[in-house]
Amino acid sequence: MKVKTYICNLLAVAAVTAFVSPLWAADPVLMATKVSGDGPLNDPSASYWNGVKPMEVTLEPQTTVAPTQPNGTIDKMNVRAVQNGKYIGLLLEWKDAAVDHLMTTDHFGDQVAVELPVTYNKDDLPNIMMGESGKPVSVWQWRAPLQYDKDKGKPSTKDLYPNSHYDMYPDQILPAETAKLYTGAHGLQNPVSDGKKSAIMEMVAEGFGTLTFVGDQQLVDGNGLHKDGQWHVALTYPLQSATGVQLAKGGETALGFALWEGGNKDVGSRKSWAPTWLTLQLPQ
Amino acid sequence: MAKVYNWHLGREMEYPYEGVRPAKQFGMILDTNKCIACQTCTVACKTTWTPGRGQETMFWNNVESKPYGYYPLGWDVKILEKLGVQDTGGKVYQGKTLFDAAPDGERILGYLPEDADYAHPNIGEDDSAGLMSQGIHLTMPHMQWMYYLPRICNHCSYPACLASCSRNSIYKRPEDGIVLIDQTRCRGYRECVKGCPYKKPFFNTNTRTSEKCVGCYPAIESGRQTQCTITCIGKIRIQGFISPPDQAREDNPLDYVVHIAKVARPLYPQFGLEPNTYYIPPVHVPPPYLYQMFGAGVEQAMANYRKAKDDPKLLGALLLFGACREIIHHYKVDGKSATGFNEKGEELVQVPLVEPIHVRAAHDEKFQAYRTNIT
Ligand code: SF4
Repeated sequence: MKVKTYICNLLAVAAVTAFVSPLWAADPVLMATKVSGDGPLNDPSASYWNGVKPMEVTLEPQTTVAPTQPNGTIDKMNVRAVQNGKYIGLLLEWKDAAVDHLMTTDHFGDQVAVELPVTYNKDDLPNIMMGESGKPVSVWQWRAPLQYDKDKGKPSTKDLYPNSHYDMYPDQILPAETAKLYTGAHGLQNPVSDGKKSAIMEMVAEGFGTLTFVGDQQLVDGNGLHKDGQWHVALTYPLQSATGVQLAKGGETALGFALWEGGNKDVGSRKSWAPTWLTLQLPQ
Repeated sequence: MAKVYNWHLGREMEYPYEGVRPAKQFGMILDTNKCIACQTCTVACKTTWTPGRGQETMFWNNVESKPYGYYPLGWDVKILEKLGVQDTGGKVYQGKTLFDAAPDGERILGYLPEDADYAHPNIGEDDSAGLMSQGIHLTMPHMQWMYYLPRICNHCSYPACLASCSRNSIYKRPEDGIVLIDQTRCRGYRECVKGCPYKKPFFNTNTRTSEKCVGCYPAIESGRQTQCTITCIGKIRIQGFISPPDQAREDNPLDYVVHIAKVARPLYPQFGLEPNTYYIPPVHVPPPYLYQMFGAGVEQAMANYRKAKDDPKLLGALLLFGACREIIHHYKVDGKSATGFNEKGEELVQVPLVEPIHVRAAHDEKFQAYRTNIT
């Protein structure tokens, strides 16, 4: 088993090495099936996914850049793509018996992300590992804890620790403006602090450690659903937009994938990922 | 990895970033001999910075009883065990730092505490190092020992939190060396919680980001010492700026106590972070225990502290602990008193080296009562 992981790691490194060569091009191709309608394709249980053939994406533990996750627990997921002339929709599905959506110091959340070049050039793709200077990538990351906030409301300390007791919080005794000073990242609208608005974050990166939230410029939308021991996450994005990823041009783009299993303490760069770009074709 | 000079180790060491010293470095000295674990500092910090939702078990300042108190549970013994027995050498540390000991695929040797490790912030309070048998009576020196260790973030010269963060969300301010987590950039990966051996970044379950001691930076910016320092009723602390040893200024009380009188020591210098809070070691505790905790030089620190009365400059600096709210940048000692000055050279406070003694009659005529305390 150890030997196998080692070989996989070697292959992952080889794939990255191959990727940095400008001659390299993504080979597997995913077709976006045309569906009817003109609204966002953000519902994982909608009928428009029916009959669309999924493509299996193989995932490897991320062992190239520290901190690493040498022991990945999920090695594949299924991806489907649809488009209706206005929006693209991606459905990501993987087996995960346990839902990890409550976060405490030693509990992490399930997450999945798609990566795309902001500007697609078939012959000059950005580094799949978070892009590179001058060749930014867009990352759409869905988080189970944010989905929980959106669906059921954010868990309180009492929800996380049913036996806890606390005398009083600043917002119970101070005027709202003053109490806001004690809300930290939440008061600063950090997107991980509250999923009420969206369970997904749209971010851009130009290399390691540069991943930045786009804030009000966010165009991606979607939802995740846990059913029958599987996560089903739909992500949607407009095909045409003034800002963000330019999808309509050229009729194709490249996709990268990453997955975090909260129960395995996957977080940040401790993840499983697809080390090669997948071509996504968007027939008009 | 870059090579940086760590004067606590007396040698260069590997660190993921270039070593750039700030214009001034936030520093603090704590006299463990004076701490009574009243937790006034803890409460001052808690009410100022962490009373909010998701911060329930978060203490940027805590006071634990040693050897059996820890917050979070077992923080130091766990990382010491992971690091293993090291050759501490003499003047130059020969062992591994936590950066040297990083396992493959990691930036540093660390561990993530469990949730329950934060459940008992004052565990081990007042537990002494060994048992006292039935019917025992006090002998000197004490048959058993324990002492109080107040802790804040060390605003390290080579912060492990900053080195561990894969999102570059942590920065060390060039003006005062205070280490902060950018709350708009942090995504709660908890790499800093895992990487900091002192376990001073905490995960906030409400914001889902990590938060840490901010060195009361708004106070520092207006020339005031931190909340934990100015509220300390035992006057065990002084907070100001500390220079590297080759730039030590004799008129800076922190430099004098640490570099010149050499009575204060960093906490676990072997970790390699060059922490900037210094401790005057408890003089009644067996040196081997303290050697592990404060490194080589601890015995000299204890000996020098015992002779403080013979060094008026040291005595003056020690008496300026807790003497005023403002940061003392300079001080001078004349025959009878020590005077502290701010950065502009304005006088802040004057303290007598020897308190005047008033002797009262043993019998109070007015109340017709005998006094038990006459001075
Ligand atoms: S004590 Fe910990 S949190 Fe504070 S600067 Fe050092 S490594 Fe960072």
